[in-house]
Amino acid sequence: MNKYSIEGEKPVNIFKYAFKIMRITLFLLFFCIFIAEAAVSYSQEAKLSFNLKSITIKGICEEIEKKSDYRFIFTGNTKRIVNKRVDLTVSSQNVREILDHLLSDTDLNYRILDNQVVVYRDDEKNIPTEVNEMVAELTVQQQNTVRGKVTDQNGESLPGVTVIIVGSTKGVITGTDGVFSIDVNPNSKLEFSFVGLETQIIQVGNNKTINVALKEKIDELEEVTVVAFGKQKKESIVSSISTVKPSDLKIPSSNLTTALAGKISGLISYQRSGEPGQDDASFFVRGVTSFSYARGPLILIDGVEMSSSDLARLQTDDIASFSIMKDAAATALYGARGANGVILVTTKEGREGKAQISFRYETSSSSPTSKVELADPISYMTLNNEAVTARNPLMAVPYSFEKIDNTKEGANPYVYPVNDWYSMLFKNYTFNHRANFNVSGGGNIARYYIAGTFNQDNGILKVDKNNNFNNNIDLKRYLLRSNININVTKTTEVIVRLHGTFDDYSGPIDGGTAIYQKVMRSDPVLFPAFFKPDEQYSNVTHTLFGNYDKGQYINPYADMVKGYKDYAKSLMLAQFELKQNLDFITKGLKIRGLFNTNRYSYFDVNRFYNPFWYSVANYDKHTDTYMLTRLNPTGGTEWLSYNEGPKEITSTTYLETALNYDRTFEKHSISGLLVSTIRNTIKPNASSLALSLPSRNLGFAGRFTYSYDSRYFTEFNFGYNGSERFAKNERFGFFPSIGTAWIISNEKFWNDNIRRTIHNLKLKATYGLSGNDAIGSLSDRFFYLSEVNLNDNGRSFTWGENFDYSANGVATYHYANDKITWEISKKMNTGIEVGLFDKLNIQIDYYTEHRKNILMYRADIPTTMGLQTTPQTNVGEAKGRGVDISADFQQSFNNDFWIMGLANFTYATSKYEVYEQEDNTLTPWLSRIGQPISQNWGYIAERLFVDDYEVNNSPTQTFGEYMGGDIKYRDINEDGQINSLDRVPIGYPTQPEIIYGFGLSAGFKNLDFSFFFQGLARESFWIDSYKTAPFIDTDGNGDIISKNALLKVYADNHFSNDNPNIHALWPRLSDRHIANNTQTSTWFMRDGSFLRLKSIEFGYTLPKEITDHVGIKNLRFYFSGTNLLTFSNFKLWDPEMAGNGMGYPIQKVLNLGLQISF
Amino acid sequence: MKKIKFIIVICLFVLNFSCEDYLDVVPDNVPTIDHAFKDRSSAEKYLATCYTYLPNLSSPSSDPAILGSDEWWAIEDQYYNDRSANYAGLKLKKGELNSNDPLFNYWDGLNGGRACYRAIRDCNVFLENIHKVGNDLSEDELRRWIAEVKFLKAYYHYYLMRMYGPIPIVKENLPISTGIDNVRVFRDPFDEGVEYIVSLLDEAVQDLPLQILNVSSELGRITQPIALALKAEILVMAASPLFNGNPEYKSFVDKMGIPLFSQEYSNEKWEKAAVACKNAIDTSLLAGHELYEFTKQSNISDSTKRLMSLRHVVTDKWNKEIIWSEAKLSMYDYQRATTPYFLIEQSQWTPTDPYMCPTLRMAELFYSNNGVPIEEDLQFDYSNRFTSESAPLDHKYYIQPGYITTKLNIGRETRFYANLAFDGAIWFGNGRYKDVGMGAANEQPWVFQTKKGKAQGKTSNLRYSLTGYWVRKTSHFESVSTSASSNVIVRSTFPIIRLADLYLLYAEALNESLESPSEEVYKYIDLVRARAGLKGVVESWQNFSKYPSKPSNKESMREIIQHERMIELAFEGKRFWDIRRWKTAYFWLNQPIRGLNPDGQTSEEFNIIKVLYTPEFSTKDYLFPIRQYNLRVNTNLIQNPYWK
Repeated sequence: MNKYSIEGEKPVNIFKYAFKIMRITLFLLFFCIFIAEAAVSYSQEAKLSFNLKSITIKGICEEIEKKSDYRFIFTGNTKRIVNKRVDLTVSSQNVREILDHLLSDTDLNYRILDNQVVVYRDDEKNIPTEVNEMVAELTVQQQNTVRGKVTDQNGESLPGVTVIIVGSTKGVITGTDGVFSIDVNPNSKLEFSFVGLETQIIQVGNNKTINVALKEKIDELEEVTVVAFGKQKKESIVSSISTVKPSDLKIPSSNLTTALAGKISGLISYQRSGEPGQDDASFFVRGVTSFSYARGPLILIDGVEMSSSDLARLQTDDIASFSIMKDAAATALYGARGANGVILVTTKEGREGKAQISFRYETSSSSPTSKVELADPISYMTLNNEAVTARNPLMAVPYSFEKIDNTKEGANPYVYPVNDWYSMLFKNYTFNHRANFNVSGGGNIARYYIAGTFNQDNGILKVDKNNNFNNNIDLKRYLLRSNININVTKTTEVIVRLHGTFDDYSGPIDGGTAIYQKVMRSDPVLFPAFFKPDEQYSNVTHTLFGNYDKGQYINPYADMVKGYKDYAKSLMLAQFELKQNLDFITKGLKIRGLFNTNRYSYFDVNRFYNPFWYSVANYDKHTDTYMLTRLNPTGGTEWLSYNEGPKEITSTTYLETALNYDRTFEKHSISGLLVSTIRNTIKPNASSLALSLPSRNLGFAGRFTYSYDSRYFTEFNFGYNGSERFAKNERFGFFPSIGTAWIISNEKFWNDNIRRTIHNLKLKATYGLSGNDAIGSLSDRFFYLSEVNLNDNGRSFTWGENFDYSANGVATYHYANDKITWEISKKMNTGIEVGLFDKLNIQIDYYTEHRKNILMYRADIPTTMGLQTTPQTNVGEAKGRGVDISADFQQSFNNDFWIMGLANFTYATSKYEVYEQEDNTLTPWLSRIGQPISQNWGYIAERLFVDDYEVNNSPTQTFGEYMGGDIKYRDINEDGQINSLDRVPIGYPTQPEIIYGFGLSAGFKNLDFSFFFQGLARESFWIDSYKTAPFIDTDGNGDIISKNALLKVYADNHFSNDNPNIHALWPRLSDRHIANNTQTSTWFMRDGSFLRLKSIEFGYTLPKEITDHVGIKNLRFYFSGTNLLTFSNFKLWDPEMAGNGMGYPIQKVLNLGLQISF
Repeated sequence: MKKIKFIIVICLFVLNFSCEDYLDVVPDNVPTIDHAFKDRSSAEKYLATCYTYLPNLSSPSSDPAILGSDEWWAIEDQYYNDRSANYAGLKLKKGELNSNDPLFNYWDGLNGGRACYRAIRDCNVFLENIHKVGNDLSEDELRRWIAEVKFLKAYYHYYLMRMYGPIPIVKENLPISTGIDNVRVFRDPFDEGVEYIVSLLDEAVQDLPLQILNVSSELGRITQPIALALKAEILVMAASPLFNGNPEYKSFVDKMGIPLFSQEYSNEKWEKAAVACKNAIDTSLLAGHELYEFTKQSNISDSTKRLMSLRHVVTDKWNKEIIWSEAKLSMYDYQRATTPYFLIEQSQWTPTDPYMCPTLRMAELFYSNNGVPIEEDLQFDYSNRFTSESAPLDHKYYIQPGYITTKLNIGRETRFYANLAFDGAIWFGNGRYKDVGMGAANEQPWVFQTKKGKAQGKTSNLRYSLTGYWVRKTSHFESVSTSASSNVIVRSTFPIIRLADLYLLYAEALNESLESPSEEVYKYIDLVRARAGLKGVVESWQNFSKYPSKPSNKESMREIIQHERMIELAFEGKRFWDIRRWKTAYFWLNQPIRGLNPDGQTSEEFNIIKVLYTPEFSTKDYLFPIRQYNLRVNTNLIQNPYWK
């Protein structure tokens, strides 16, 4: 090893690190780092000495800055070259000498103005002579002096900004106050550039003053893209990766996942519920091409696998990058875990500079996007009577005319109750609050990013004043994040990330969705929510809740106010990362180690009263007094009871070591990566021995890339993974991939004329494998072992005279199969990237996927084998294909007006390729082969039966009783009966195949405005005809009687003897479940597609003149909203909820926000 | 050089981990099926497992022979959709049985059925492995356990054959890895199946105990009488018209062309059955079984005592007459579904929740007190049976004297009163244990009133008898529900085979095997009649029937035996199977289901006959259909005759 020292001194620092890492089988790592550091520096004219290895030119300049008063400025076109790594050994030379030496073999040149050194690219000198002449001519024509001030976006003056006349080498540098002055003719353009800020070009025109605010580059995402285990230059990416600017994910919600739909190409996403804490959207990378339990993508936050609910809680303020790996080349490194795609998120790190403080506060109101309309109570009663007699005219009706008439007249509301349960339980809107605070900054040695977030989401439930507790949903979330980077030496960086998420919830015992469903399952007229006490009970201290019979009916109001549930959820994450530059071994070599552990915990408790139920015993109409009777004298309590809830704990540790090599030789760029990962998860409170054993994954992966002259790129990736779930011989899987790309626009023939129209054109293709070990179900732990319960009390048998000698039985849950192994996905991706007019970027990817070895239950084992569970085997195959398109557009018209556009389109479809199923030769329509994975099968509903005569003369329908006015199905196989053989694939898949979104943002002076539309298509859903069937008991609890509410649309449009409409929405009414009408059929099938105004935002930034006085850098107010408008053919409820219409509705949010930075 | 070394070290670090060990997270000795046969107590659990598949007999939701029988009708409770499983039997009678998703699917273990093939597999696993248990299982016990499991294996096969006819017999388990061609088994001919399960029983009998001595922990285990009784039942079934040369099944051949049913009637089958019945009876008597007599309470009249003997034979757990009984359900569901309410307050929300009621056919079925069918009885006013009459004093233990009731209820044999309760009936038990005329009024038996608005009549649309009759044989007389909310159901056993059943089987088999009835035939039927307080068959018919010589002829004696059997074993889950094997279901199950008018408030209104349903039964319904799906999975299987 070569060790250089300066002026004969011994090396200043020699660090020796011993880095020990414990594993089950202990292994040791130690490596040495030898650093040679330069000695101290002096003033401008001082002679400097350097001995630097593999350092960028920019780096050298920074070194010079440290040791002298020179400040370096780089023009925009130098960026690639200044990042070039060189070795430098000089002793006692001045700056000019050093720079001459340094820049001699590049096409860079420099100029020294006072203490500022401008480095620019030489080729600008070689402008064709005619242009030079033209410039000269123009220069002669007119020369104005233009003055101005350059600031950053927060209004801070920017010294040292290079201002260059486009097309010439003439330029100036702004002074310490950011002011510049330049002679220029009106036809010219000025280019303003500064490191880390976006370059701006402005037409001079007749302006005498040009003030420019340079925008910060968004985390240099334009330049590099986050890829598996690292970053790559954007241009060298051959795989299919979508990235999204974190700011595009900002919506007024404390759930990040709800913002994803339509924002990222290649992601299928939808949200089915709006309940705080339960409102995570589902999302799938390029749809679903498997029938295993893990269908969602692998989610990595700062490199560590996390759950989708962890992702949901991330704050956009804290996110540095958000990208999605879609094809095999991007995911192969994750090997066995990448088949369903990968979402990579990194959090912000501190940057050198003084502390940047920013604070954001939002308060918003949320209300249901739509409300399911119910029939009025009088219709409820008359139609309930109709429902009884419609099936059996001789049956006694449940509601007497006396009751109906009195209710109509509004007689005593306790005796003739009319409950609008919905408005009794729910408010129209609720307020939520969100606050985020973060500080970042740092110096040479250490940098920090610290953030704290507080969110409060409230439910829309009402609170009973009589209670001293809050039964409304109140979900408070606290997030803390601290990312600290420390340069231990010049080549060693240590990063510590600490993150905690804490949820404190208080809400109704059943949860919001269940309360909502109870409202939809309660009789509105049977009893009031509570009674005013009569004489007998005038001094009871509890609420006199209404009920009927023995008190077995649902009183949703009582259920809501009787108690509350508390839960606390926390996630702690601690991460230690060490990066070591190994340039001293060979240039471009780095090693990195990461250790992470996270702990998750959850518990809940319930506290509640047992309500006392009352009903009217008798009522004297003349005096309008009633007497109550207590229905459950022994059942109610006035004291609080307590229920212990479940407790969950999970502990995960993760270790990653990576060796990186990256170097450019002339036109050849080579990089390599080798990484090993180990992950271990334990859930201690497991329900069985097998589940209590740790889940482990071991991975070894690599990437090798080669590119030539920024034109031709090629890449090879592999993942080699092991999972403890499989037998020894099937335990490891190898998943290679290759990819290649060609940037045509970097070719020599791509001249400036073409470039003016098409500034970028890139073709790429990848092919490879990735795998999935999350197969079967979560409870299938070890496929190669049988799972038996040798002491199953569910299978106990009892002998003995008094039935008291019992022996537990033996159950087999799972038969051993040591052949079961990985699910394999073969993925192919071809893509094209086009950049037009320097403004519009379009990226189109087409992909195909072939999943093999999908684990599925064997369908060919007859019952006569007597197996307790059906064995599984890797035989399933599925294919997927689709297109992802994204486009963005950006234009600044002048300094005051800018506009940005964004559009995404994702189409993903899949089909069964091999699926073991029963013999379908006689019923080919039942075969799954060739059908989409989430395809539904059902009956074709022709119409309603006209009458019983038609019923008797039609094929028999085998779902129990039915008569005229019930749904008539088509006899597909014409065997004279309608049974499960007559089911055919109906509608679109239940998961949308198309997701799209588009939006525009624009700014004018201090105002900004943006909107975003999002939609989905090719999705079918089914109105739940069982849960919406009026008057029937559907809560599934035998001891509680529920009675479904009557939807207004059903009340208005159903088959009846008076209105024998054979196309009515609802068939003949019934007071009991008519299974014939609740079969999955085309009758209740609906098109799920919709388009909605997903978000809209207006912002106003206070003028600098005002904020400057109070020391605020930036102050912006904004008003935003989500889910404001929906366009869909389906009107009953929010179409995004699909079949979940009786659930807690999706919320419409109106939001006011304030953002300050100092 | 150093550089290279360094790179190598790092590469080694990355590459050289002992992956294998890291992923071996499974500790040694995780439980596997081998552990089930390591010692006696584990093996006993496997024995219990083999028992657990025994069908839930007496449960209306899983035993087709309860509500599926024409003995019962039920009120479909409109507010309990989630209890629709309870009405599976009703659906069966209403013709809702289909091959797509059959009710009571014992083949697959769906819709209330037990998975009999799983049971058989577990039995086979037990038989394959039980020898591995070490020395703590004694040789005697080992043999006994094997015998029990062989019995169970035979029973599960029998249960399937009774439902489906010929089935694939699983003598030995096929390994899991068996190829696809070999798992597609064929149905075995019916007689081969009978032969196999009889041979299993024969093997088992020798090693079974004659009776259970350790009653506190072993009552319910299989004994010799049980095995022999089951063998008798199986052979009688195999000799019965449905399976013995049934012309309707003649052309039923499987895909290899093998006929699945015997082509010719064989009288030999009856002879074998008769021998087996006699053998079972002899062994049962040897084991101490005897006809049941009610002795629990002494201070009651003979009339009440006789009634209780006939009523309580079902609900008195482990009584001497019971050879084999279902013990895990305690008849709980059956009792809940049939026990009437006693107070008018209970009708809104009774603790017992009765929804099943006997059909009028059952009220007509029982003999007159002369021991002959009411339509044959010279003394019984058959044509006016639905008029009203005041109850005479001599019926005071059965009917409230002077109570105006339906004439049908007067002058009947004791089994009528032991089985049924009706308007004016006296009900002993349910908290009142003094006989009529003894003790205070509220200690004396209940008097039933089943007209509309009365205590046991219809007061709402729920929980009333649709026919005006209630069954009392199925409720334990000590079960108590005396207030609107409290209810105690006394645990009981449900007889699967009892001695009277065997007597009647023997009489039947013997009668069939002979040219004309012998004294032995009369002897065994008369034993059953004597307990009911009736004279012998010959004497009764001689004196009171329009057809006095009926018992002397084989064919008409068959009718008498069948009638006796339907009476004696009413509501015990026997009639359902009997009328099928006799091929008389076609006759019974195409007649309307009738009841008295529960909406009647006066005697005249109440005695109006209401038709509740007119069922249809066709030849295909004699056997249950195999779920169609199975035919698509195993293309070698064929569906039962006439089912699509």
